[in-house]
Amino acid sequence: MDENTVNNRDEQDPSKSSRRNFLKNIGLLGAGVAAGAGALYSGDIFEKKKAATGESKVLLTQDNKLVEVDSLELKALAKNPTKLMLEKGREGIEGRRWVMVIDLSKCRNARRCIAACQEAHQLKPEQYHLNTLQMQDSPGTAPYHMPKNCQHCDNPPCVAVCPVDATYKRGDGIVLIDNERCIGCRFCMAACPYSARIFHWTSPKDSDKHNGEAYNVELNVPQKLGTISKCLFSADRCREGKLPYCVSACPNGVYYFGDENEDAVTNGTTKETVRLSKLLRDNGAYQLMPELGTKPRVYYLPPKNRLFPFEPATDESPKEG
Amino acid sequence: MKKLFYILLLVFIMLLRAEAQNPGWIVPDDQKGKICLVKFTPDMVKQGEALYMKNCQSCHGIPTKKNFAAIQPSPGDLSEPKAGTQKDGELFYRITTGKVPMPEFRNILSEDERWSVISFLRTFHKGYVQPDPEKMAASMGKRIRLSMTYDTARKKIMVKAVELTKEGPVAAKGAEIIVFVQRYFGNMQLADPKPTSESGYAGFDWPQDFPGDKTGKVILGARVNDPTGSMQEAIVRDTLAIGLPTNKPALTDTRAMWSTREKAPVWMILTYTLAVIIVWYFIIYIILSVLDMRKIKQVKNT
Repeated sequence: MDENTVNNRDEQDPSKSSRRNFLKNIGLLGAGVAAGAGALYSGDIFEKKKAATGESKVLLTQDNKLVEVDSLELKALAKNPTKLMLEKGREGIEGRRWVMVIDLSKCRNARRCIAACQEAHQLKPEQYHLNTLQMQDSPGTAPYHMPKNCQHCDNPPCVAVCPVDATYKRGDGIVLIDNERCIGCRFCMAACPYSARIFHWTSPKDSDKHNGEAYNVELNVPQKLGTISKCLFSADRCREGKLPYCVSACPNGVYYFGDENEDAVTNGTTKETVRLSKLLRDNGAYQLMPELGTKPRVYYLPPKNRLFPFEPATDESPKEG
Repeated sequence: MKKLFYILLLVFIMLLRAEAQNPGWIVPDDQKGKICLVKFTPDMVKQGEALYMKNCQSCHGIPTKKNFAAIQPSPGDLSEPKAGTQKDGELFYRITTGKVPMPEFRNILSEDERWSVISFLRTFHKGYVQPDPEKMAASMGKRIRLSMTYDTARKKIMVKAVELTKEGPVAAKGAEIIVFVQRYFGNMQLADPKPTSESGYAGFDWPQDFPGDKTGKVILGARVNDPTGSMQEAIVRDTLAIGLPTNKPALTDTRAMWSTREKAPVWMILTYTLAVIIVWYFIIYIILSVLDMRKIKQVKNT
């Protein structure tokens, strides 16, 4: 189609030309309206901001920084708190590698660690994230008490077998369980060589009371029927810079907890901080079943020069005194 | 007469034995006189009771109930005269320093908290009168100011103590200095306490393999070791870049059997997806072929 024919057609059909003009005008008008509305909207926002300046609030962010925010700019998050905690719980605390040292020479089966753990994680008395076992390596050797919890392996078999990515390892070494994802297949229980995991066959403790509460993945509460639970190295307490529940509850100085990167562990009873490498070297520390290649994060100091004579536990209830 | 002599001898031997069975937990004389600088109040007693139940009851039992733990040496019931006849300073020293198997509460309970535990125990001790704190307050004194530097040549942390007297600052000699490093869950004491020299300095060897943060920074502190509390709180904190720079990767950074999908390399994802597509292609192809065969059969039949 050449220039001539177009012109011809315009002349022949004036109505077509006017439609084109009409459309052009409409387009211009639309652009103008949009620009105007945009200007009005931004002006409105500016006015609102001006009104907002005045009252300010100091808030603590998720990464523990204090920030000042105008009170009118605060918006309640539409996000579900459970979802928020799940996302936060997937991220480890940067630059940390938690490690626990258990001194068997000091354990006298006071079971305060177990009580504190069960209280924090809403467990029944017969459910253990942590238990003190009576050990006797061979008939000729002396018996001793051994607290045993999840070893938070660096090569965790439980995480490798989970079909739904419910149990996972974090950058700071903690192995956690997302009970919102857990389907209760118990593969992880079968895979764990330390029998660290428990399964909620029956309704968890006070489940009716805690029904509907937001699920905190770093505390594993509220516990869920038909899912797995286990020791979490008190991930919530680590975030706050506090020692785990069991560690701070021990009356006999059995537990040390700290950061391998800092080469320091703190005793839960005496609050004394010592060098991890020296503690392990001087006391002949060992790990449970290292031959499996699981690379546990828990070290044991042998039951040597014991402070207390061995007393066999009479029943499973926490001992008084 | 001979009989009386034998009886006396027997009593003497028994006393000796009793002494031998109780190997001394000797409180230094200068610690015995320490007293609480405020009058015990009912609030203090209440706080002391709560602290006692949390920290002491597991071994010492509930006072007057005699339900202390059966361990050696026996912790004993603290309402008994054995504890009741001790001075405040003695009890304070024992709580502060501990003695195996009793833990030291130096870092567990603050000084005020230790005094409130004593105030709680004193409610069980008949005839106890608290020494008047007013008279003792005058003995408080000595203000010490500390500063800290790192001596690169000798690899030592040098702490300088200066006493602020009325005449002006003077180098403090013989002040026992403790140096500590801040760690995530608490402060780590670097070495045994050291007294300052004539010039007011105390030097502490700095271990060269000590980890710091990403840039090697370490938060250090120094304070005067002063269990009597007679000196006014003398403490200094400083950040020095003398640690080993530590920047270890997160434990999830390397790929492992248990890694999640995000860690899988591209070639693995591509090969896997391709394999799945090929397998499904053949399955669908076979099903369609079977359907085709049925159609051909139907056509032949008609």
